[in-house]
Amino acid sequence: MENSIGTEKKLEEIIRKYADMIYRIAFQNLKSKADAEDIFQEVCISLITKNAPVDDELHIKNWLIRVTVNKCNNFHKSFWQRNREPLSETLKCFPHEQQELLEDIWRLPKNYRNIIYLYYYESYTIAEIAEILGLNPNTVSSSLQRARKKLKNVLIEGGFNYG
Amino acid sequence: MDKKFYRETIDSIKISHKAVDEAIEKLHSGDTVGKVIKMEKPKHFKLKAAGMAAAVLALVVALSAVFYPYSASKSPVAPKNKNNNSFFITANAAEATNDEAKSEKITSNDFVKIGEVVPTVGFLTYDVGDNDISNDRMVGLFNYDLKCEGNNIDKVTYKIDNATFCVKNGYKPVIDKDGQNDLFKLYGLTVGEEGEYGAYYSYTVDYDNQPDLSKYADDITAPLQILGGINEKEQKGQTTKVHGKAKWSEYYNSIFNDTVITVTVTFKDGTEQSQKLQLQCDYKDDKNILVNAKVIE
Repeated sequence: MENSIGTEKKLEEIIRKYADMIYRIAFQNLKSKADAEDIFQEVCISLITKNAPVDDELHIKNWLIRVTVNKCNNFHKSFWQRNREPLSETLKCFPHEQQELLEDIWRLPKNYRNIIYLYYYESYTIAEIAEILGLNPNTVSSSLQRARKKLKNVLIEGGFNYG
Repeated sequence: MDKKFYRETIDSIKISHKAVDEAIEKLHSGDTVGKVIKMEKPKHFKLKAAGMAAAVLALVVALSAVFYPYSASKSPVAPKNKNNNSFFITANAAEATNDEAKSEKITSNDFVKIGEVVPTVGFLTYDVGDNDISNDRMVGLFNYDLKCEGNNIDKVTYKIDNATFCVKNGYKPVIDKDGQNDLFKLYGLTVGEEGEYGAYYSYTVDYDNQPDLSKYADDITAPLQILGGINEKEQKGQTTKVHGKAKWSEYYNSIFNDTVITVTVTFKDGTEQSQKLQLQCDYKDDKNILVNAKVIE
């Protein structure tokens, strides 16, 4: 078994490498920077204290995505964390067009957002997304199509056509 | 959709260096790692201590049987205990202050902590769509850890009234469960997504493979949780926007007013014994919201 210094070093590398990914998933799910940072801290604690597959590059990434999504799902049901930060405040650091895209993404159901992100940004296949999120591949495929359609419609209605 | 623009937008979402440094600092401080190690030591000790206690008890019982066989069979309690079937319930809830699991026998004397509110979740509401809160219901989700100890036990069944167990699908220690996912609708809530959890009135575990839930004390993804709700009358007219902490405290403290868990053990000879636990929610502050239990019959 590896010594604790080696493990700590490995955990630090993982945290640094996937910090943005965890934060992006949480931010897209929770629409709040502060809440996304809270989730990031919680995911890091889980990484440190649970039996995360730290030696397996692929599995650790999938594990982190799954844990982040799960924590966001639970977080969503919280009373205290709801509407803590006005959306306009959250978005003000983004350029106008990006603000509109984010608002459109946030109009999608949560699972659609995650699927869109994993497919278009992380380049996972439908089968991989299904495995990570614990969904049926057909569900992922149909959700992806619906999300794509909704996002496109929303964008067209909003005066932009991104595709 | 323009993938490039999407990627650029997502690229611009970056976590602050401060948040990353904070996480790294926690890692190196050993606070969290230490907790894991600390949890293991007392457990080993307890196992040894429990083993020694069991050995001494077994010796006493054996000697009693040898030296006092007649009086034992004439005892008023002998018919009930002649096959040595007995059990008691323990709580193994981690301490909020140091996450150190502490096993404690639950009796009829005082309420004993069996768990606490799921971190970050607190009082729950169900967001229909994302923004429609018209169907919100006030419910609370709690982690807990109950176990049974005794002789000749085969299986243990936990049944809950006026609340529900949330059981993660596929969680192996649970060998049987009874309920319906529609139970969530009573509380206006789904836990997890796509059927990750189910809501059940009761579940059964093997005595020799009882869930170790103490390690999930601060984990929102614990495989077994208790979901309780304020009754409909209390909830009417409430929204998520009003109420100060005093009101929340009042709600919390009433969440398990009528909640009873019936613990039934099935012994290897097919006989059964039950104990009923009354639950109680104890709101200390936002970070310390406990669920306690005591034996009522």
